[in-house]
Amino acid sequence: MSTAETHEGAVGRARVWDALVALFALVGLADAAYLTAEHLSGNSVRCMIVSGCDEVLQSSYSTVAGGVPVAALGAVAYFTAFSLATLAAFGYAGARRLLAPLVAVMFLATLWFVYLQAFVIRAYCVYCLVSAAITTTLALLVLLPRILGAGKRLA
Amino acid sequence: MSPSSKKSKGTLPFVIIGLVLVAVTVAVVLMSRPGGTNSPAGPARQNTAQNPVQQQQTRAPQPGAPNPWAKGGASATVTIEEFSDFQCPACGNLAPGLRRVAGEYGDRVRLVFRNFPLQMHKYAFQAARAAEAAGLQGKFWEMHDILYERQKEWTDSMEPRVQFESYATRLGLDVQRFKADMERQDLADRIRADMTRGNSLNVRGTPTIYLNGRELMPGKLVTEDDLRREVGAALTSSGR
Repeated sequence: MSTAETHEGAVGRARVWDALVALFALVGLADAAYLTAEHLSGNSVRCMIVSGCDEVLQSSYSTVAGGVPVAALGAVAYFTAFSLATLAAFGYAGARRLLAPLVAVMFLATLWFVYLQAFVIRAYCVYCLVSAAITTTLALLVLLPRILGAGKRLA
Repeated sequence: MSPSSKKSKGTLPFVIIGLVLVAVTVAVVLMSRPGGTNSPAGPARQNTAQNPVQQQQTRAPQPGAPNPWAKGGASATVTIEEFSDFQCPACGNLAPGLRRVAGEYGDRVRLVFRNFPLQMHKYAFQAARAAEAAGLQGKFWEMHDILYERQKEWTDSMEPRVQFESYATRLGLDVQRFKADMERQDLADRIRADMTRGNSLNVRGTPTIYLNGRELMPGKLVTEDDLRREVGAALTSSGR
């Protein structure tokens, strides 16, 4: 195997990885967009057997800094992650480097929101938990390779 | 990086990003309108869409608890049946309005209460027991009202029985008897009978209101104004 082929193979794998990250970020974006719309429409405050009561979405923890819905911030974060991953998939290596800190911050935020639901509000919102799962997946996809030292080959 | 790989990047990624941005913004704007996410395609509905016809056809409506707690005229032409969960915030919000509307129409309207504690509410069944136990001492509606007025107090508590007993004291009940009655099997059976009735009617959430047997505004949150309007219309059409 020539070094050129190994390098191209690695680059190819990296871009597929980026595309995967972009895909998950897109799913997260859809989820966050839905939660933002729910929040803005002030809807469905009934308690549904399946999806819950929106106690989480109606709580004071659902907005920050003068009425900005947390879900909207999440949507912005997912959109940024999606954009960076898409750019990385098309070869913008700089974009990939920005993904890691973004996803790390998103993951920390996710831990905080799960803590709030579990111990403070003591209610869950299904779509919030879906978002938590997606962000955790993104964190694994983006941060784990770096932590395991495989980052050198993928970056 | 070689010059040729830079040229191959192109504008496609930006086009994709731009399209996603537009699509998401449009979707959020459309879904944010009042009622926007309560369409039949919304997630809350998707689960009921799986077997609605099956359930309605194969299950006859179950009767619920015998002699349910009811207010108003026994010969009223309009009956409101409410499936409610004491821990449900929306039920708590609706309670005063429901009381007002029932009060305004007096004997012309009959308000029937059905217990429908949801699984996700860990204290709801106990609260229902508390209301039923208070009912044995003639104070069901008073306990019902306090449970809703002070909902946050007992739902946030580590041991809501403490709150329930304090409400019983406030209402002048025999607290020892109240505590014993809360454990009664027949009261739990009443609650479960109402839940069975709700399930047989395909009740999917709380509060769910039936007016003369027809579900009011399925899937939507009924407000005091909605109630007043619907009850008024029903009374007019029945000639009273």
